Amino acid sequence: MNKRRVVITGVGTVNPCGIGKKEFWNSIDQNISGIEKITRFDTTNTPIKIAGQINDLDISKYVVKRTMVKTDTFTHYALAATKMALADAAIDISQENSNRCGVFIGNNSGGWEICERGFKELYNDGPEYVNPWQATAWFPTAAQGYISIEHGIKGFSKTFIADRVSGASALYFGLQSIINGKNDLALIGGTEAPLSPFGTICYHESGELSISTDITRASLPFDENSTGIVLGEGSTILVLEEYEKALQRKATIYGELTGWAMTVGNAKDSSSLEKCMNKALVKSGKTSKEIGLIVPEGNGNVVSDKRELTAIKKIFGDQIEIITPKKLTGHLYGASTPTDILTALLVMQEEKIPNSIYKNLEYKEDFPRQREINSILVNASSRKGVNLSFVLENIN
Amino acid sequence: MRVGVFMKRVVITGIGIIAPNGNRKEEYWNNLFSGKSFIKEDPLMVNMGINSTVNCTINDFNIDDFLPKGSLRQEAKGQADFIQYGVAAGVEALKDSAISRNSICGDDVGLIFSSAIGGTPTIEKIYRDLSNQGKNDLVYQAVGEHFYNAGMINYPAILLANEYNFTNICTSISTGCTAGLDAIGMSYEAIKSGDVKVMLAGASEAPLTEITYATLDIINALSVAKGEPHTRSRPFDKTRAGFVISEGSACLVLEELGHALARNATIYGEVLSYASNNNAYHMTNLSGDATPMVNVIKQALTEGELTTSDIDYINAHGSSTKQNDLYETNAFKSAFAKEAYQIPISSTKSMIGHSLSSASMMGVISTIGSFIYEKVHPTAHLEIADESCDLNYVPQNVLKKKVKTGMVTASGFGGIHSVGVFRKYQEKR
Repeated sequence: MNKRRVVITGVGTVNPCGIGKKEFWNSIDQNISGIEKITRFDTTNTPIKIAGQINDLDISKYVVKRTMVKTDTFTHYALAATKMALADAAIDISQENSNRCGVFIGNNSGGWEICERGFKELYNDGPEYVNPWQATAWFPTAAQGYISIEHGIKGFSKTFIADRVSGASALYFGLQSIINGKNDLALIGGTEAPLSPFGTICYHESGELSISTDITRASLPFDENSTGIVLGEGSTILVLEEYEKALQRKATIYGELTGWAMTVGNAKDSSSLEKCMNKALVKSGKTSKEIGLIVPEGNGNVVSDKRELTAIKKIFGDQIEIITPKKLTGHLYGASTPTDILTALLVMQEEKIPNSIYKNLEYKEDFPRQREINSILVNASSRKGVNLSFVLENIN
Repeated sequence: MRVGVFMKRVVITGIGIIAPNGNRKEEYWNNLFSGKSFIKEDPLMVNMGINSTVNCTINDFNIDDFLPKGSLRQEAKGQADFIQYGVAAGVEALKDSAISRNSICGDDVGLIFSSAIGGTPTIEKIYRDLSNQGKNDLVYQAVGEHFYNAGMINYPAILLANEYNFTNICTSISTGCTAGLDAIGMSYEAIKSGDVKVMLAGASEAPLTEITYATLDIINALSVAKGEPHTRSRPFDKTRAGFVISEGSACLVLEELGHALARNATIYGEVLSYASNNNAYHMTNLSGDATPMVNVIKQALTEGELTTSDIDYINAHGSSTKQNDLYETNAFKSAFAKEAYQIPISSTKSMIGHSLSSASMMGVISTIGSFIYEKVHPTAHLEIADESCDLNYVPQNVLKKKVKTGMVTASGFGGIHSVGVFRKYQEKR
């Protein structure tokens, strides 16, 4: 039996830089930031003042009303991105494939708006007034559950909570479910909606977030003047498919996932991240020289960025080009790696690099950007030292 | 070492458990076989005026009893209970497996942990503190890192990885009441794939707080059964009326057989197969015909190259809700046909309630107890037969039986069903 291969055949996203892949690409191509002053709630008494915020999303276009009232925003985002991704892949989940299709989602801590609502109901009105959807709307697996119900998906599926690598974990296990033959198809991605008073306080207490009020100077990956991570919200869902199956149905293939690795180690020392990138390269059969671009964890936390840059320099030298979409979206946590993968796929498809890169440790805008890139490395790393690396290849 | 050359076999070589009926595995098994329930009335639940008033709690837990002085103990101490339980069970499992920081190659060891709702009690307390007992809007005060960590289900795994210098995969899942079994299944698959030789699979739950009681009570999930408090979890009984919420943590060391044999590890059992799916039907309700669960049982049998007659014990999800126990019974009848009536089936939840993610991992440990002691623990307080639930649930008293192959089932919110099959270790599979 030939080794099974995994390709990406559909994408969907709602994030601070756009609803849908076109709007998103337009924003990152033109270096247009989705970070702004938080208007979702009054931030007078809470520490985080700016964030990557989604505006102008008409959720009723994607989620039926009866589901909407029973679910939190983080599930709404995931359902919207899923609908787009399935449409983009032009695939229907049917009786035929539903048992071999899975859902793999990264999400941190579930629904923050419903969490606060539940506490308010409990303490102001009493336990008998807590809404009946609290249990199923709050917990992180709600997105997986509702996606599976809405689309009739019955295959092996899981939800991951692992800080900044929640979405990367979902991708790692989702793609392996196809490699190992458990699934032929998988919706993988992440979703996050932390923009509530309690949610932003929680993330702030991680000690890694920026409390800056200057939207132009806040999210500065790899910049020594960075004030920390800027929080963002949104969801990206990717359709992963077994290669032969994708060929059979003449699907449009964005790219192939040829390398993947996960390691854990000291969060200040770069060695476990180096090991992770090397393992992913070995798996993909690529040398570091064949990698044309890196989409890093690069999140604006000075310690994390310094560690990653050290690791990248050791393996790839000074000349490798790095793009940092988190500069524009903020950190989407559970949705961050799926969004980075999406960015990488769009770069390969458009044969164009977004209008800001890091090269030779320098940030650059306005440079010749049109070029064919066939192999991209995507990194993710968590605050306590878990690393994931993926190699994407253009096989068209 | 001829076996395992062509297909990697995965065995269990370490057990850690923090449960209401025992913080050590021997105590846990002894109490299970005696049929003793640890469920009690909870004054807080009574005071809240909700319908259900019983739970099952960990008693006398002190992390100092499990962890030596040092940075891990220091770091775990200030964290949410589920983190403390998880770390303690992890340390116990590793000790039980004779794995220390320097006895094993860290690159060969990975971790998958799980929890359904993580540090909810800590989060609730912080909410109260920042909102004048819930009366006002939130006003920020510095809380500290433990707030973020309380939501971070991966935290126990990370602490253990750093302490023991394990450097392979490390992640955590949150798939509710199937999560413990899922952590085992995914660890088993990771070893089978050859990416890792030893996995620490964990599940930890400490959900006992007002918001949990209120949210589960309002949807009538919690037990309102009549009778003495300790009898109110009575799976498969005609008068069952909801599950009893509980807490606890479990952790298993899973290991590639060759690796275990090479280091002379104690082998408690073998993981034969694992399967999991979505019913794609409803977040909490179950469809009438039990097909999704039948499918996952059949998948697990196929994956393990087993037939129905190989299974001689089932540790059931048996949550004591009207719906689950009937659904599960129907699934067993459909998957096992006539044999369903012969196989002893019992529910650990009859004695220690339902600790969400960790419940299914405790079910696996119960099954391992059956391998070792040649006994099947009873379904306690199953006194009044339900004509629709008419299988052999080992009511009330322990059953003496040599168990060779046991199946563990779990179902949970989100419409997930998971099944694992475990076998008493023998050289030739």
